[in-house]
Amino acid sequence: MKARDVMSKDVVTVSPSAGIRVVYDIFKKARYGGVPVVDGDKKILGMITKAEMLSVLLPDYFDLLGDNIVFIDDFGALDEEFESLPTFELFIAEDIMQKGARTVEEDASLLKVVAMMKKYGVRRILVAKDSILKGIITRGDICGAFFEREGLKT
Amino acid sequence: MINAIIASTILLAALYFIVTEKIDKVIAVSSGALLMIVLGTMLGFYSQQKALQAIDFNTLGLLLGMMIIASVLKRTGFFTYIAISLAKLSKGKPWFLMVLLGVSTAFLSMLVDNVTTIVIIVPISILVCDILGINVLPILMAEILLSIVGGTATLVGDPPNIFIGSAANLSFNDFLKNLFPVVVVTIFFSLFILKFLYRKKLSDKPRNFQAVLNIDARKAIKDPKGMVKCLVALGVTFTLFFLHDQLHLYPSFIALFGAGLTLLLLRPKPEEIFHDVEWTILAFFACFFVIVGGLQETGILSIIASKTVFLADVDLKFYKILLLWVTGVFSSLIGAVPFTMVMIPIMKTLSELGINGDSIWWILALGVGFGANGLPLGHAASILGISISKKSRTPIDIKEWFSSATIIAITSLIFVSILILIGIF
Repeated sequence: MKARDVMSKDVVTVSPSAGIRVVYDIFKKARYGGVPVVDGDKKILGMITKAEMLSVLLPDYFDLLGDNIVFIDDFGALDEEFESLPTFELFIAEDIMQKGARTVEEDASLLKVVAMMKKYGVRRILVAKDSILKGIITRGDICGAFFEREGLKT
Repeated sequence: MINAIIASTILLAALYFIVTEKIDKVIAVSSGALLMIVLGTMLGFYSQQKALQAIDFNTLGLLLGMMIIASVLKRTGFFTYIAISLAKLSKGKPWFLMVLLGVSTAFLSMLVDNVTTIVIIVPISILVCDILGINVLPILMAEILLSIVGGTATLVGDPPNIFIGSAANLSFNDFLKNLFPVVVVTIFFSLFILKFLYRKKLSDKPRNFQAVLNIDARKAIKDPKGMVKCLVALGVTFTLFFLHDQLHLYPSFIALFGAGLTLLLLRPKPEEIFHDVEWTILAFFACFFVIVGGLQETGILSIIASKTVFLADVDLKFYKILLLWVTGVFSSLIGAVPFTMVMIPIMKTLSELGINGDSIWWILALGVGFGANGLPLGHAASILGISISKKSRTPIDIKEWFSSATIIAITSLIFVSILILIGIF
């Protein structure tokens, strides 16, 4: 089986200028955990997953603190800001997306797709030709492809 | 003469790449060192053997030992514990917080490397200020500047002092006697200058002090027994530093002994600790020693020293003040470490030519240490501190640096100039 055999072709995408709420609505309604960011020609610019949405909420320096924060329960003034977050809605897809994305060609083996998911710790792989988006493969697509194979069905 | 020109060109090219970062600085100096050996051997002024002798292993051993101790100490959560305890003690008042964190950063930097102190204290300070709801900028500035000023006080506080101590055979106590009082006074007036410059930002009322009071600082300590053991090992190490002159022990031996003791008492995973050791910095120093060694062999550095020494005959105090300011300016321009390494052979010639006593070494140490604050790229600790500040709400930019750090650098060099004038150095 090749990537093209299991990929979904109608991928929900957003433009780089889409507001953060548009992305949220896609996550909510379409039950997707990740949305590719593409330009007008379907060229892949990046990827937004729920992880990227969440990291907007954290101040940038938190990654330098390591486990020096796990013993703090009350973040005081920072908590108050976190709850109001007046600037949160101002973010657009381009600000929060992870630049670039893991992609495979349409004729790539599924084994390669699985190996890439495991190696990079991602839940979905984009299928592309010359950076132009052709489809998306999720973990569910691959499981489905294996369990629904002809002859295996009971 | 041709030798001197070639060797100087290699040095200047290496410095050019260090400052502009067009090539990674370790790659720049290692290429420079190899070129120096190859060309030096061909022209007959340098050799592989001389290059090896030029590397000061006492310095490298001291740095390695202190890096290992610092790596173990920072893993115990000690620095975080100190920072949070001080935040509680400050009652959330920005000025008190700046004094407490600034002074403790300075003192910690006297014991361990500035960079280690900054990498832990700065992020936790940003967090504490965010919890309090106050502006972190004055506190960041105080921490960065005072870590560099503080590091100037002891033999092991900062690499330039380690180079100076090793080259001039000055003991830990010599540094303490001559530099510590000057540094303490400088910390004191720097804090007041910062208080004046940031008077507006420091007048913030903390929005939520209760949240800081609620933090249990003891929970920051990941391994209480380990922390005690590590502090004991650090205590033993510094006791030996106090006595090293009488006991005829090399500082590098003591630091490596302390590192060994720490590892033995705590039994951490060695690969994690050695991963923290900044091998690239050690390699950088070793290669730079080889470059400066080649330059020294051409005799050009002695010529520079002897050509300028007549000024000392005209007016010794003027000569020393000139030395201080030249050192300060160049240290902030090309970095404290490379400049000190180039200056050391020049200073050695000056002592041979009869400039009295150790005072020129202290002037070099103070000029390099205090001058490094003049420009944002003068010191590894300021480069790191600034890059961390970019992740906070109040990034430190060049303008900010000029409007406070440069003023502190100039004031502290003026202070040392006065000390020279009244005959203390």
